[in-house]
Amino acid sequence: MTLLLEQIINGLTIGSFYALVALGYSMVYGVMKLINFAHGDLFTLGAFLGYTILASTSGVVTQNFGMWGGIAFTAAIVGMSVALAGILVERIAYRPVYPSGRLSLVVSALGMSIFLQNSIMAIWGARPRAFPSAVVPYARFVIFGVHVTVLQIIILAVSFILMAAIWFIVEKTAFGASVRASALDRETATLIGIDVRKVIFFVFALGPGLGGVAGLMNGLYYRSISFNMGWNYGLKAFTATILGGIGNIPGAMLGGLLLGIFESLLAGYVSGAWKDVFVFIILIVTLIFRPTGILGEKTAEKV
Amino acid sequence: MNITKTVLDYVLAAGRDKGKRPLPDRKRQGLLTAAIVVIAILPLLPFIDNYWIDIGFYFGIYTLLGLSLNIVLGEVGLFDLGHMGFYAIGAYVTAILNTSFHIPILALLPISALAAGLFAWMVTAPVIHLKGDYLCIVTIGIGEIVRLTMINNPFGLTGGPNGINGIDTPAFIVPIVSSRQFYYLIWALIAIVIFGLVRLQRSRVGRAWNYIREDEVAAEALGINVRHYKLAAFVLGAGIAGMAGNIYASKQMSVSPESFTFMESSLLFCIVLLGGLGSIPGTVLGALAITIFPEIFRPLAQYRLMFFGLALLVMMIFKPAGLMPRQRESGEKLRSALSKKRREAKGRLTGDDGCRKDMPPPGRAENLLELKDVHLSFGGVSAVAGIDAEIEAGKITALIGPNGAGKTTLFNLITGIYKPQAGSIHFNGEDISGQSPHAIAGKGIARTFQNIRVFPSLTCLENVLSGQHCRGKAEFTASLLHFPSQQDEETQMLDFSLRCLDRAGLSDSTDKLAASLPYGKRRYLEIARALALRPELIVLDEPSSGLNDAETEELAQLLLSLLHDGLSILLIEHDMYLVDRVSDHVIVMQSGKKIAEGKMCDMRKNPLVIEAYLGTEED
Repeated sequence: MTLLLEQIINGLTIGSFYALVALGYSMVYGVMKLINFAHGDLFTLGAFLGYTILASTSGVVTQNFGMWGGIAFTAAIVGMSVALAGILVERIAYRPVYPSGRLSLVVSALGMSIFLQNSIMAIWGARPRAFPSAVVPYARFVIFGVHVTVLQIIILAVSFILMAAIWFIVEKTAFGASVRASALDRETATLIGIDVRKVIFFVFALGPGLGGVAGLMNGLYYRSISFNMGWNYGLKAFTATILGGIGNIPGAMLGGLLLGIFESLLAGYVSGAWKDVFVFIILIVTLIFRPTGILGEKTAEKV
Repeated sequence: MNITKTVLDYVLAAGRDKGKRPLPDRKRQGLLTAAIVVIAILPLLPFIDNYWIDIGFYFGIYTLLGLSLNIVLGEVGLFDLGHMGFYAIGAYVTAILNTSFHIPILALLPISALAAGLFAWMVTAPVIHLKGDYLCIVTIGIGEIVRLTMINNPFGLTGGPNGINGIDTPAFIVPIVSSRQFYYLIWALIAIVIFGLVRLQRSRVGRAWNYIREDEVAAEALGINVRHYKLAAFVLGAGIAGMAGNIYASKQMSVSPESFTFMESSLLFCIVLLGGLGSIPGTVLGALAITIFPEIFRPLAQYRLMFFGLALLVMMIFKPAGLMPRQRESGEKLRSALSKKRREAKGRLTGDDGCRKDMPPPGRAENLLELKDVHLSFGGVSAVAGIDAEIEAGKITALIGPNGAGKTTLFNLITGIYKPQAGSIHFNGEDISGQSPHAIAGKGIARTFQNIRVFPSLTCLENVLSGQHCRGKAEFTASLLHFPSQQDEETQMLDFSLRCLDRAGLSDSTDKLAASLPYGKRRYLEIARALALRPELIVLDEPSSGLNDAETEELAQLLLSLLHDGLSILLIEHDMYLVDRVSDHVIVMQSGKKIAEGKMCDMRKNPLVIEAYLGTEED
């Protein structure tokens, strides 16, 4: 029982990374109908920027703002920088190619992903980097025999606050309504006076911003980061997006958390080596029996 | 104005323009011959060392893989980002069978192909109905499952992360060991594959693939078994990738999972897109670009992949159609590609008057089409709520009614795009309700669409040939080996399609791309395409919409002449002039129900109809 609960908490922690990255995929897919293959690499970029701020400045940040203040400051910088990178990715790789159709977009997304990954490698090197261990002291609680680290609590809290904020913006505000409208039908949204370019700007800033923060938290949690980790996280997060229902914001969150729990249970009780195989089998089975995901709605093609 | 923007626009326009302007045939032939000569003699040149011959070999591997993906992605338009999985299956089957049982490598070539093809069939059959990005994600998953399985070393078969070593070299008369021999082996295989693919491109099978890529719904409605041809493309593509895996494994003498990553699958995807969808010379060029790029930029060391990513972006911005887009062949060329003997023998085939001979003459059953209490609702909204109707053979029946009455939905029910939730639809006495659209088309119901669905990047002739698809029989073997029956069939299809084009007044547009036709002519092209199916009943959804008065009159003449030839016609129409002019019988629908039927002149007086529909005209 204790082990099960610990696995679930571990799963929720990983799942919250997936969920934050999945939100970015889902929002971009909703509006652009594009799998942003570069998204996973923006996640990596967030991890490396966070690493540079926390490690290379040798504690200047944490000394001036205190530990939590320092991390919050780093997260803000990382979030904003990666958001900016996201906007640039859209400007450079997607906007000029958009008129040429879906297939060209896939190639330019792949090209952008290769470019980002190798730029990160060129800047930070091919070997994995380790977050300084002194940033967050290892402290943990024992609640009814279940071990929970402080960092896990922080990560879960931050993730849930961010997700709640996104949910509120997209589902409850007027601007969110225009985002949803653009996702449903971009052309009609333009016709009723929605500035779709603003919506695109928004999703390409917010999605990567969240992904960047998730990258930073991932670095703090696992400590080791490498230039090519984004691909694996990206693929998992995209699986989460499909699981929850692509283009569906609460779906992306639910899908991410479920996938995280699922993965950690598989690793704990079945086999660590085969867990990724099971994840992809679940992805395929979901697509066969419920292609619209858990929370997605049915859409009919007009003939 | 912003000068950079203007310059950029100019460059963009020039780039896009060039992509569209076809190279003259002779120049293309010359380039092709030059390329073949270069590839053939390159390894014999004294200043080419083994290093470059090996690069030529890997260029060959990528070409073969690119060609195999081109079938799936280029010809059929299915997003496959896990193609390396099939290649891996071929390589591992070769490695395992060779190291365990010492079966010669080249004997394993067909076995690897079969294994990869079978695997592709097993994993894609349950997901083949998925569209676009969903299928793309599934193929990524398949590719990853294969790779991870190889790493996990199930039953000690795959050797885990280190893979399998000690694979034999192949032997064909003499043992194949040197770089040069491997080079010629792979390029000989490529030559055979290209020979086959060109034949497929010019056959009923290759065209069916292209119709699916252009418009799946229209292809299915024209009698093409979309599922069958999609699966066939995956199996064939995987089979060829499996062969590439076989040769690769024996060249390397080892296999390991790291050769089959997602990165490699995306490179293949880029090869096909760089070259141009469905273009064989383009794919070879794309493979060349992918192999040569890292070599040229070798001095840049770790930065070269960064530049490669950028190069892909730049290519997609300036040349989205690819380096060498597929050129559609003219009718003349299609004909001259057929064997000469058959063309000369075509005299005996021209007696065909376009009437269907494999079906009973029209008028046998008095009611060609019978609808009984047909129901369909979408999420509680009743689109068709219990329609009973009879469509008589040899007549023109018009279906009219205000917008939203459920007319198009009824058409979609008749043609099988939707399945009725209750009730039955009988055609020629046979219950067709619930059958797939392609089966219904094959039985003799052809349709056009309200919002024109021609195949835009194919020629008018190719568009019309799609209608002939379900009247032909030649599948893969017949098309690859040019069986006499297949050559006869092709000749017949071409001739009949040309006549259908002529009938619709499009004989001067035979070789034009459908996308380049003006709106009105596209409507006629859709009708010609439907005629090519040799239907008994032709179902037209608002054929006159968007036509001017003169064009509508022409349409009326065409419809009447078709009626004269024994066709039965059912049309949805809002143009009361046309309805009055051609229809024998009128059915009026409102809110999913039939409210009246009879002659047009009676309908004009019917109070229900006036209230529902015609009344608005008199306001």
